[in-house]
Amino acid sequence: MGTLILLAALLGAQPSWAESSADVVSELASVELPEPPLEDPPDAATAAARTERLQTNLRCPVCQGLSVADSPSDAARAMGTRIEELVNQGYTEDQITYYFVDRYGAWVELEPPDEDHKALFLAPIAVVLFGGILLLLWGRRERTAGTQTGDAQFPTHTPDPVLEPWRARILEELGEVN
Amino acid sequence: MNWKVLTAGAVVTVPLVALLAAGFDRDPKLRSNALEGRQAPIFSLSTLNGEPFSLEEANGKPVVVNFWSTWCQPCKIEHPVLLRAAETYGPMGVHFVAVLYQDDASKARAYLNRSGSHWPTLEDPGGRTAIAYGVAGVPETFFIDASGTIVRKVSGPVSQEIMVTTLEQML
Repeated sequence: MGTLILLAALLGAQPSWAESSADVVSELASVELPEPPLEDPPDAATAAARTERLQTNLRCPVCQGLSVADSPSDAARAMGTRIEELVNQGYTEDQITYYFVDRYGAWVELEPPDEDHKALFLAPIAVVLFGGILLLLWGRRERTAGTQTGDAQFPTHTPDPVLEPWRARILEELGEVN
Repeated sequence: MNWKVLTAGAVVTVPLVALLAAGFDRDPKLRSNALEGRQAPIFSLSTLNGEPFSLEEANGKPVVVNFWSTWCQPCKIEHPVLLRAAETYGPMGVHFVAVLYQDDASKARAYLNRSGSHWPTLEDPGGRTAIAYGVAGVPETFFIDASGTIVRKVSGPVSQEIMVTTLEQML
């Protein structure tokens, strides 16, 4: 129990440079945003839902495959707080997602938009289908060619002038044995 | 050799291999340089001494913005390069600014008292400026030209060669 309390205290502890709440803004610290919010500030429930969705969908910039919500890192915590601030200012989910993609690249989205990657997933399937159709067509052509030429598929025996005497002799001796 | 089977195999495999090969030149762990060539986000922060600083103060002059922290070893390797660059290019009009990344001001003050600095070091509460610049680790350095455009972003310690080359291009 003591360990759990200590762990909870450590996880809840904020370093001095971080801010525990989105409401606490240093008077001197500000950074310009590329565009104004498109909506009015949402109510608390909507803001919480949007923040959670965004924190789940955006990747922690210093982690391997962890979302902002899942990562305990300081960078993720700062990003999570920033998301909360922007949501509370009335920025839409698309605006906030674009803000981060604009800075960190498409990589920052845990599930990038389908249209960007459709070709990547569909191309191998298309190639395999194309190859399969080609094989099917070639196989059909081979069969048609075989039907048209009757027994053309069987090799024809052409006597070899050099080997023929030897062959005749083998057959003759085999006949004697039988 | 059965050329038909070989061709069919090639038709299926070559595009697949080409598709995979196309991804070889992209490092998924590579940090994005998405802001290069774009206007630097304007920020107003306070220095470790509590004085206000705005990027707009450097209007019309090239600026080097360095994100760093005292817990970052590569930042300490980079520090002498920044010192020499500030000594050389500071008098030529280049502004050098450091932004503290997820670190305590007291530790930064102690480190700078020991190692020296010729530039303002800014506190970034909540890491908003770092996020605005897409910082995903330190050190990261942004070279901003006189028009306010980010001409280069360097992830990791800036070598003397990169520092000199980039600043010479900017001046």
